[in-house]
Amino acid sequence: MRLLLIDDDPEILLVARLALEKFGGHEVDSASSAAEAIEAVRARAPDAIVLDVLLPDARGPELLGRLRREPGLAAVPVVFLTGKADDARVAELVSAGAAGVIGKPFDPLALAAEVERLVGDPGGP
Amino acid sequence: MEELKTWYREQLWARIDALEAAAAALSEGGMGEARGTIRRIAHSLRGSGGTYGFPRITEAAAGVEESADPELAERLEELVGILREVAMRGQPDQLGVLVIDDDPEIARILEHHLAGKNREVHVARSAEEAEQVLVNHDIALVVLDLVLPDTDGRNLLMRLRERPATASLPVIVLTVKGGTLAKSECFALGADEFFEKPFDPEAFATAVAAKLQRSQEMTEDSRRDVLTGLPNRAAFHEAFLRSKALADRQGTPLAIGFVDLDHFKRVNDMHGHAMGDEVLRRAARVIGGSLRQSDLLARWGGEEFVSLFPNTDSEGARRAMENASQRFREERFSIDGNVFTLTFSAGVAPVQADDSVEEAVARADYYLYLAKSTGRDRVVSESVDPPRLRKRVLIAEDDELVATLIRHRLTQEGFDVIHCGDGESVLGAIGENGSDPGLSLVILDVLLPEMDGFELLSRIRERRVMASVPVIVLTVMGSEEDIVRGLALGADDYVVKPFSPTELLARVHRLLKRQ
Repeated sequence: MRLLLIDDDPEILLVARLALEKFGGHEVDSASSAAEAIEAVRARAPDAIVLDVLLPDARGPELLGRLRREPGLAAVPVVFLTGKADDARVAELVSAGAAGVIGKPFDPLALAAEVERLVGDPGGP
Repeated sequence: MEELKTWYREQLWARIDALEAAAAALSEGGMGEARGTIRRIAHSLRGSGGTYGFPRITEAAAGVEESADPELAERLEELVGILREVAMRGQPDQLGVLVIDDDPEIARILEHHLAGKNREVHVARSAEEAEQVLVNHDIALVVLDLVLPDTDGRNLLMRLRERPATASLPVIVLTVKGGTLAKSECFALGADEFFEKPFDPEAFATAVAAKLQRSQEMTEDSRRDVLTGLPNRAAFHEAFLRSKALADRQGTPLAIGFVDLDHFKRVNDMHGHAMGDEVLRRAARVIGGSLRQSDLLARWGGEEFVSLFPNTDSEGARRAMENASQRFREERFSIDGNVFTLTFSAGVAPVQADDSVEEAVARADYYLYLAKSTGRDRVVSESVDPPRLRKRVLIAEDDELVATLIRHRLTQEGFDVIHCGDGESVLGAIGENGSDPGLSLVILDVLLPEMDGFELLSRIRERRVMASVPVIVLTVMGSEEDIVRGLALGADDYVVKPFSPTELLARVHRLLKRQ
């Protein structure tokens, strides 16, 4: 699966990218801001998006809306990464159209499988 | 994952610096902005700490992020303490207190009064036991009863004062023996405080705290190297004697390592002494951080470091040092936009039965000499003879993630990897005409900042020693022209991004086999 990973934290970006590539065998593009994310999806449309809730230039749900308006991305599954994955937050994000929510900190070894489960991908490269 | 953890640990220093700067601003009243910075960094650490396997960071960062303003400073201090601990990979410095008293009741009461955060209380029942503790532990304060089963406490006090190592160690004398004679005699012998039993616990606690504080300050000053924060030569000397005594008694091996940064003079000459100092600080941090927790690294002087490996034979020590060497080689230094990397040479030797510090160091220094004279950037011990040469690959790639992936994979396969982020640093790594950088292969991204990959490729090919070194160019999809141009300029193979590291590795092996 071709994934777009969006997080402004370089440490999270590195570990998540390696986790998704090495353990999941996915192709991963990354972006560290909303602006970069829009640019990235215009360059290459992803099969799914993994998105940090708090970005310097946008809130996650707002960026989700903007991404969905891009051509071909109306139905792209989006998984949120968040430091506060309590029930209320999860419900809010899911009602905003998220396929699922993964809390930080996460287990790098299990990240790929978790993303695949949430977006309904059978897994494998 | 271990490699990632080490990488994360290294990233923590920047966070520590930023948090400390914000804490300083906070205490000077710069509330709003500093608070925002602190909460933002805490938020990020909260997410990343546990992800990298440091749940304590996540916990402490959550404490900071959620704390109300009045307790922010306190929570922040806790967090920074934990960050430092994780970054240094060590325990917090414990202050050792030695209680010498043969009465178990009194010893228990004293232990109770003395125990506290960052204090480790040892109890000795006799002068002989006390001597043992002093050899095996870092002691910052002694509480001494004058009545001991094997000798008069005053004799012990006198002996302590005669030895350089304990001459200035604070000693609080505690005794039931009344009379002004004993008191004045003890002060004359060098006691710092005198308490008669039964003593006032509050006054006693105050005296202990004051002495410990002074002792700690003195220790910091006289045993730490100011520039790197590592133990200095004197502290290494003491640590050596302690480790040696322990190894002898337990019959366990002890190894010693001697490290010298390669071409350090060039750093000073080319980039100035401030950069030289920065290199030494980073070297201390990286090497110290990549040795094992039980190992000790000290600064010997100049660009030389010395290390001790308790309960380790020289092969084990060589492996630990190889690991440090690899990490240091991957460390990137930058000044005015120029990025460069450095290496070190090291000798590792077993410490033998009747070795003095000087003899042990001289043995390690001999292997260091072999490492230097057979080409530098290697670790030599008697178990590696002759020094084996690892194939060295240079990666020119400005995308950190791609470079990390490639480096990770090649390192796993046993290659030495040099990474440069731009053309200038590649040329720097290759060196002047006439010198041999000892490269087996170059992986070159055609899209580099400033000097592009093609110009770099032609300049590489101009160097005689580089004329026949295989070069793989990395291009992006849909740029067949780039491939043709690269091959025309002398590239041996190409890989199109995005690629799998396995595919790249196969090309590397194929090209090296052809040589």
